[in-house]
Amino acid sequence: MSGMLDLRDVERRAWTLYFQDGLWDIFFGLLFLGGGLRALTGSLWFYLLVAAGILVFILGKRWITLPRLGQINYGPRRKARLNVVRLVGFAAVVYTAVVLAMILSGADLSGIPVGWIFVFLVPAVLLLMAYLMDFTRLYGYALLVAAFMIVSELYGDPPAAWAQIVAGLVPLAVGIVLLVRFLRTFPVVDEDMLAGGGDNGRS
Amino acid sequence: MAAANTADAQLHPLADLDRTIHSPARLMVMTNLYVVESAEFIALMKLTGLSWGNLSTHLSKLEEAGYVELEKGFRGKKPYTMVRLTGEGRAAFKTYKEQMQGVLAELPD
Repeated sequence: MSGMLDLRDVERRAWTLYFQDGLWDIFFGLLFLGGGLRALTGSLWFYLLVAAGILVFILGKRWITLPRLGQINYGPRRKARLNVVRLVGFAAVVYTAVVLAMILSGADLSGIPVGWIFVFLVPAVLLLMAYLMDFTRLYGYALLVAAFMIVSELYGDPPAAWAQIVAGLVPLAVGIVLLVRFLRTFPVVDEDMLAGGGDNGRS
Repeated sequence: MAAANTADAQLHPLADLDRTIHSPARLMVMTNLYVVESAEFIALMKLTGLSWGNLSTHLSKLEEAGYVELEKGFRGKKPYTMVRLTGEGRAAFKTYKEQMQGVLAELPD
């Protein structure tokens, strides 16, 4: 029986259903794109793309995904994995904030390869998140991040900025394609409408 | 005769299978609910591939058996239904799973 019915696989399928909307991809795409355009032009306005990525993600989940797929409350194993993701993300943000604070305060970091530490740290965090979240495409995006960060360390801007822009366009394009497919595949389902359709409606 | 008795003894657990769960559609519903805490009716439709009417019918049977509980709510003005396995339903599925594992493991190739 275990060969025919893998309960973990069933749970994983229920979880990954929510990655078909492409919103995570659009978020990462706008995040990298905003950073790249900012580095290329020097204009802070491009950070608005990052804010747009966050907004699209939050509002999209609420107004696009939820009405089409409904909500699932996952079991303790999945919740534990998500807590680890939150912890890893929080630790990475704290570490980045500490390093930035040290740089801004004029601390002497000349003996520390801060840039190269980030080259390994950021993709490593993304790879870990991909594993814990069962988000396969994020493995690819982590490699894209590693690539533009290596270019950044070796050549600086503008090559790094262009590499980051390309790294942003890839997930953005994937996300838009997935979102369009998602909207076509999953129409909005209204329980009221279905129950009133005379199709063995539950009382 | 002895061979027939042996076969009966081997297949006996099949007769004890919970028929409420044993239907393919209800087994799909129970399996999907077993691996999560609760799921919205719409999500169950997507996961099982069942139509609204089919899922409604099967959920009614599972609810009658005391295996699932339905909770209605509103998101804004839109109604939704959350479905979860009861303790009894979770135990029944676990028993069913063990019975099936036992029966199939003992069957010859």
